[in-house]
Amino acid sequence: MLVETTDGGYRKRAEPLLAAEKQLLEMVARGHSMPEILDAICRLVETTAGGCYCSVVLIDPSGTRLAHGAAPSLPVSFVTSIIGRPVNEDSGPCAMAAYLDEQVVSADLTTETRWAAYEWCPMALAHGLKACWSTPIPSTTGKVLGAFALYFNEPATPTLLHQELIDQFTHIASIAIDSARTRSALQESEERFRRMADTIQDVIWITSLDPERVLYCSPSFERIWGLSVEALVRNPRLWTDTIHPDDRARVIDTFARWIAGEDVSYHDVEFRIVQPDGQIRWINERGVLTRDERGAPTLVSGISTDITARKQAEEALHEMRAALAHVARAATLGELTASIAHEVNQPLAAVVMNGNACLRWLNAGPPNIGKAREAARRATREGQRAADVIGRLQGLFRKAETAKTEMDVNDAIADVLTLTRTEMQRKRIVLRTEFAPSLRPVVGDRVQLQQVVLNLIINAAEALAGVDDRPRDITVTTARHDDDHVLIAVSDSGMGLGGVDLERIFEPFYTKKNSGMGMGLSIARSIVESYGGRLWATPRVGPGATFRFTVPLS
Amino acid sequence: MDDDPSIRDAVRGLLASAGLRCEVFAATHEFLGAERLDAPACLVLDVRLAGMNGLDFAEQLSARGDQIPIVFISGVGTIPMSVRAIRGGAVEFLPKPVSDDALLSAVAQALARDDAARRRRAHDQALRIRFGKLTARERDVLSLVVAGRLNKQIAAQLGTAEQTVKQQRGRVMRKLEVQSVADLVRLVVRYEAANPTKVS
Repeated sequence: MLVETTDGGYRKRAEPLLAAEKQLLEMVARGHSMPEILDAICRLVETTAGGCYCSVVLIDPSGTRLAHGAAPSLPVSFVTSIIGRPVNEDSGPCAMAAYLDEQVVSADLTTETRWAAYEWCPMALAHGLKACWSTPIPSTTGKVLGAFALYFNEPATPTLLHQELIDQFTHIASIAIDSARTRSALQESEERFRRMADTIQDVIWITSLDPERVLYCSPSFERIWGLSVEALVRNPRLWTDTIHPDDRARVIDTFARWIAGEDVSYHDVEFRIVQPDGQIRWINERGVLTRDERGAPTLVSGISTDITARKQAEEALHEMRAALAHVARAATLGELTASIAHEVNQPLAAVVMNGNACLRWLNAGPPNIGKAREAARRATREGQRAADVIGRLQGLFRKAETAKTEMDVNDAIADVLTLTRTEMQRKRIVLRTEFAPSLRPVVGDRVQLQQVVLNLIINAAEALAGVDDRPRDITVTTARHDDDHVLIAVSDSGMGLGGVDLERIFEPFYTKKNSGMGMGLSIARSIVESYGGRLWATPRVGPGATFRFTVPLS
Repeated sequence: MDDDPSIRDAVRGLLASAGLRCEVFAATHEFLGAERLDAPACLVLDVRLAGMNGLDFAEQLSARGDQIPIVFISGVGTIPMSVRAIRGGAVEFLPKPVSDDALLSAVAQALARDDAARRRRAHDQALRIRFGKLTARERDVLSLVVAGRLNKQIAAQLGTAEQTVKQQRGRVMRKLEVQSVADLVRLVVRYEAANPTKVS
């Protein structure tokens, strides 16, 4: 039994205690299990204090019940009767200490009246225990983790020395429990991550940069890449080597610039990979950089998603749109058949007449070579004109596939306007153009851009059909919209957009006309948007309407 | 006249190769504002003009009393269109592309028609001048002579001497530059055909 001694005696005892404390903390640091450490604490205190039995009870994760910590010297039946008791003032001294967060000392259990509701004292007395001192174990955050208790076979009151011993080992128990809990939380989190990473459809990976080493790569890699994770770990270069040759340089460049800290993100980088059997898959990749304290990148972690199905769907949709646009274009041109026939017929008529004139000059006596040459030259020029019209038409009737090219937007529009010229004359419409000079080229599919203009002009012409009290005008303008876009506007002096929902007109099958499917504007908008532009309608000041769209400049 | 400069050039070239003089016009007002040469002429007109239908323009010309013969050419010839053109007095309605023979023969025909019309108009004009020289009494005498009356009957009807009627009748023959009563009758018939009001 520990007794109060002189200062010198205490100091003598204090030294081995310090060594014991150091040993316990080492156990904590080395990651010994919590029961092991708590056991050691109990035994140490039992040895040091003498004549007592120690126990540690914990508060279970729910915070309402007592759980077992350690009790190397107490009878099992006593320990089991405490475990599971509720954390409150009435179920026993340890429960009370933990509940109130203060020391509970019962120096003589034979006269103790507390905890009667749970008949705790008779149970303790039955195990031969006559005193119990219970002290809460606080966590570093101040929350109570459990209680540390000393039991005696005889009534006893804690001395100063006892108190110091209790404080000291309660503190160590607190560290041991905290660290064990942190470790198990970490382990759990690691476990959770693994479980998630191992089962997720995407590939999760972590790579160190210098030296380049794959620290982790989830098993989905094998399914998507068709290569083993081991192969990748052996040769991290497989990552770039499997990228499709057409995409490789771009991805490597983006990655390198991102790592170098340039203003480049590595979000949603999309590229193709080639599996060993030659199959192509589409990948979407996002990365996160970890830097050391000097800001140098050390780790890259990321997620790679197989987006092949989405890409295929997108492609199918794109093809369908293009096919629809093609059909709509053919239908639009169909409406212009008479005009277009005229556009071809005119130059052909001129060719025939000029050819005839040429022959006549040659057949004259004497032949007039100068005049004949002039006529032949006119015939050639007109033949070329007919060929140009046919060429433009062929362009518009071309198959559905689209091609982004750089083009002069004024040229592209002027080309399609010539096809409508006769139609405009026939409908007594004056078509004017106001083209901004020296525009930068725009990027897009020339034919589809022409289709949009054609649609807007035909719509404008239809809006003018009933107009007799004012000039029938259509104006096509081009202008710089902002640094990156050109604005193309088609204005008419027609019946306007009164009572028309300015957004609904772009919906498929919306039509106010008797003819047509109501697809023109819807298709026009989808074309414009697919090239990163916008198409919208506004009423005009005065009668009529204006349709505007933007197309990105190169 | 055609709003397409290519067609204008081609037509001019073709007509020039046939030795015809040709002026081209892009629009109706240009044609209306142009000075006409005093020579047989015709108009080669496209049915489809900027801002106007060629057939409408032809009717407009006719309403103004302009009798220039018209050869229509058209890329979109329909039968109703050509019927309307021919009824309106068109010489020919030619579909594009037009062969040189078709156009030149149509133009030649039109020119011939205009030449004849011009001659007829000149002759009618001369007749009007001759008839204009007659006095009211001479016109009375003329109408009775043409009606087959003898001098005596005319003198009785007009209440004058037979000798006076004889002199008046001689003056009418001189003014109208005819030698015989038969010629006189033919002249009056032609004059009345060209002029809505009767001689008397």
